[in-house]
Amino acid sequence: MSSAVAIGVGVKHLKKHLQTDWFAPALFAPGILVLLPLVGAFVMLVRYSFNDWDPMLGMVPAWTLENYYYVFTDPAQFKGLVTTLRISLVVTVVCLFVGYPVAVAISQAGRYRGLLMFLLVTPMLTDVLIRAYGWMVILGPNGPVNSLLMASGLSSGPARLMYTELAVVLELIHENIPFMILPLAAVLERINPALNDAAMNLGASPARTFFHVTLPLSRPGIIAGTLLVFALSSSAFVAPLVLGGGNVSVMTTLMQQTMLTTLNWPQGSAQSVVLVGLVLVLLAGYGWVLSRGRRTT
Amino acid sequence: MKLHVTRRGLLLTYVTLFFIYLEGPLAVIVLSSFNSGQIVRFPPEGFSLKWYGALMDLVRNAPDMKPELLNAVYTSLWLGVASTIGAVIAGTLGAYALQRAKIPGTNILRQLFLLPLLFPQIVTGIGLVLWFSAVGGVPTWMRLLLGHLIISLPCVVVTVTASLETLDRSLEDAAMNLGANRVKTFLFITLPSIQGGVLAGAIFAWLTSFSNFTVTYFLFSGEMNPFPLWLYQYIEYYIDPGAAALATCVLLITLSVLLMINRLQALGRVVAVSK
Repeated sequence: MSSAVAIGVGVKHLKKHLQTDWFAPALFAPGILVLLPLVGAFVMLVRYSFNDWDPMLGMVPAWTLENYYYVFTDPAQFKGLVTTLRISLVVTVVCLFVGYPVAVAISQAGRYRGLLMFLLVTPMLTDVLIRAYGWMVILGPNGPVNSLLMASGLSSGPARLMYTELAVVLELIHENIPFMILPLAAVLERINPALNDAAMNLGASPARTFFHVTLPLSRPGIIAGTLLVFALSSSAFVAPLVLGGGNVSVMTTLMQQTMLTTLNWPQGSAQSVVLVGLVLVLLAGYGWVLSRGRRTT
Repeated sequence: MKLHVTRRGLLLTYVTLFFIYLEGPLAVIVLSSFNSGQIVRFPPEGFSLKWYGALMDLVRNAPDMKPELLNAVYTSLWLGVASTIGAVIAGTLGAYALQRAKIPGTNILRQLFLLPLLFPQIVTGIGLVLWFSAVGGVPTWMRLLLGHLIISLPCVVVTVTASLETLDRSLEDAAMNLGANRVKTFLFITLPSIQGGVLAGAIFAWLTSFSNFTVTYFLFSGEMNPFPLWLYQYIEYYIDPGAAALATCVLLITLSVLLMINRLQALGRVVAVSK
């Protein structure tokens, strides 16, 4: 390349750069104005989480790790943490096994794909409170589950299904299973069907083909869906609030009590920071797996 | 060959059952709203529209405990519209700048614009409680509006970004070469080309605001009680099918809104990008 052309290109770039310089910050301004309080709020959460708290004086400025220590050692909080992880684990595993065949079907649906996607996404975008109410009706003493139990003679009176951990788990599976299916279907759609045909032509049974070709190739989708569902389940608030009804203490409901009932803001802040840490680590892993998947295919 | 057909049939049966399960809770609400009895029961005892009538009464003469329904709906409506307008302006400009700006720090800004999606909503709610108490003197309507603006902004950013990615940039270059300045090019070339994404984002943002529970829960006050909070208080204390009738109305609104978005931009795509 001759130097004259190089200079020409350089000048053009510089000109473009100068043009965008004033334009871009001006366009970002309204959004930044809206989001600045959120950043400020998080900075405050982090700072408050190191403060002291006195039942009489309220919050006392300090630099202490006590609140974080309590998140992991206070019996009630530790139990909430364990319950959160247990519920999220159960929800994630069930979502993976129930959702995988659905993702396979969507990836092979052809012209029905749009319809299936719409059906998958509709409950996801309806008010979570309304979905929780649906589960209240289903699991309630006059709901279909109890009338089946009683009609079949398995139970003499209505079983108590509402306000249990089971109710929360059932709602969360329903709420989050689309987030397992979507990344799985996206990965499955990118698998070259010729690979399956090749395995079958070489004499592999369908089961063998699935376990040795399809399953390993869909691993990025499995990991991404698992991380996403785990993150969403552990930060869910409405399901434990409405369907747990005070009997199921998870991190989010404990945070609500600490912030609004005991008003122990430093403790609530530490709980929030721990939850954000957990969720951001999971989501970062999710983003990393997805971007790596995109690059390799 | 025969085996292959049975396998397909099995998968089809499984998927059908799955979608019955997935739409089940919504169907149960709709069906139990037509119950003629006094309490929510499924299967229903008989068919009746009386709970829709009761709902109308509730709206018309607002007796005893529940006079807040209309107020709650009004609050949620204006809150939704106001935060949508704000989110559309800030989100469209932001998404455009994110795609075009070559300034350092664009990547950090991209993370910032999607931050409300990454944060657990309960943390956004709690954080804003602390922020507002530190700032002091912010009226409830402003707290709610800012909270809703924050959570609906990424909806617009996501849909507009998706539209911008399919936009043919040579159109903009042509306009600029013909002497239009950047503002004119944006208004007359870019904006009309991405209007589908902007509209989808606006509807998506409105839906997010209208149905948000978690952030609202931490910011509302007695005098200003948005609809999801009202519904929560209602279903905590009443087991009559009135709530089911109300939920059915909201479901109908949601479904029509989703059909609208689906026409503008494939729903699956919007959600896949947003999460």
